[in-house]
Amino acid sequence: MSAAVATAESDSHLIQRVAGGDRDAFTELYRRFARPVLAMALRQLGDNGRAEEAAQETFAAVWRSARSYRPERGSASAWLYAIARHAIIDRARQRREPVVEAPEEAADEAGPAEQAEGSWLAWRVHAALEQLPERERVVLELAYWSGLSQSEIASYLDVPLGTVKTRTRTGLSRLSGLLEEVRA
Amino acid sequence: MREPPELRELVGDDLPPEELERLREVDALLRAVPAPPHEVPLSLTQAVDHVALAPTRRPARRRLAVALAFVALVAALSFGLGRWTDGDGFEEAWAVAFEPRAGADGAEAVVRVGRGDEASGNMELVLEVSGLPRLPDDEFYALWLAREGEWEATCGYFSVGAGETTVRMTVSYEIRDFDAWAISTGHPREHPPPLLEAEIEAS
Repeated sequence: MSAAVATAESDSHLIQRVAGGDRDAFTELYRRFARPVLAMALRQLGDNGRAEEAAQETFAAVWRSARSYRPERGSASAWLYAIARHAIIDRARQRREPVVEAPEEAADEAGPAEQAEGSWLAWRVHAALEQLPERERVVLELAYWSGLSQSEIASYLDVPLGTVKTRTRTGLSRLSGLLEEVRA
Repeated sequence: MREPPELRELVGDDLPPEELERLREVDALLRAVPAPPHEVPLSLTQAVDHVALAPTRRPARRRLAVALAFVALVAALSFGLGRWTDGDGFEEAWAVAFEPRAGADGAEAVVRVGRGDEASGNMELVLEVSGLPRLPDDEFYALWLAREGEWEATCGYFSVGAGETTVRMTVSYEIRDFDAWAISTGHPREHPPPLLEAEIEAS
């Protein structure tokens, strides 16, 4: 799992490079976090347009504020999460509508603490998925969120069933390392 | 939509029990969170690409001067003009101004520390904060004390309105035992990065 660990560590290096105006680092940071940011914005704002605006503001704030990131004070992922949350709240306030969690995210009886924890959990899982090799990530997303069976995934991707199972197993194992702190 | 297949169907039956247990925990996490978006819209990528054309911002001299003037004013109030007492009997012993961090551009805060009650060991704080966005009803800000960057003690939770918000809190900590104050949203469990921070100088 050393590759995954190395990738996680380099998030903070990327932010420090962004602080120096490094566009390549910014592009890589965007590649890693665009979907987690967009996922959270979609859940909380409810429509694509506003979610995109919030995501854009998030990355604009990252570009502007990268100098304020202090690795010793917390993870890069947590820093980005806080910025995204504020961008989403700001976007919600502009329309004078409350931030909501979509029904699939918030259980009927979930209180504020549970909702916040659910949002943070989803963020970390989505961010970890972005660190997987593409072939493993695609298989896992199809397995868990498309409603397809393993045979249907094999057919859809035009690969043998055994390859789907191997990629699923490897992807889950890699995720296990990436999400070690969450599982603890 | 159909539920995802059982874990054994996904990974097969030939895994050692410890490995299977490890994967089962990840399986549970994936089942607990919603799907990420299928893809990132090209329009967003293009918009963000333009963001990186702007030069990164360095602290403006004017902002720095304003911040220094603010700190000097606080210092003057604390040490030059003597104790500050408000109408409710709050006696200020010292005060410190916060600096905004990422996600809190334009926010300002100052915490005034009262003279401790020697009998009870309690100490009153008055926090004045402005420029932070109002949060949804079920969310809140926290004022906390940090040591070496870690959340060590919570002073209190608060909401903000438009303009400046003043909050009174009572703590029983020896403030000088910590090295910084921080304001953030959320809960210590989330390890929230500070939105505003203030250093606590050793006495």
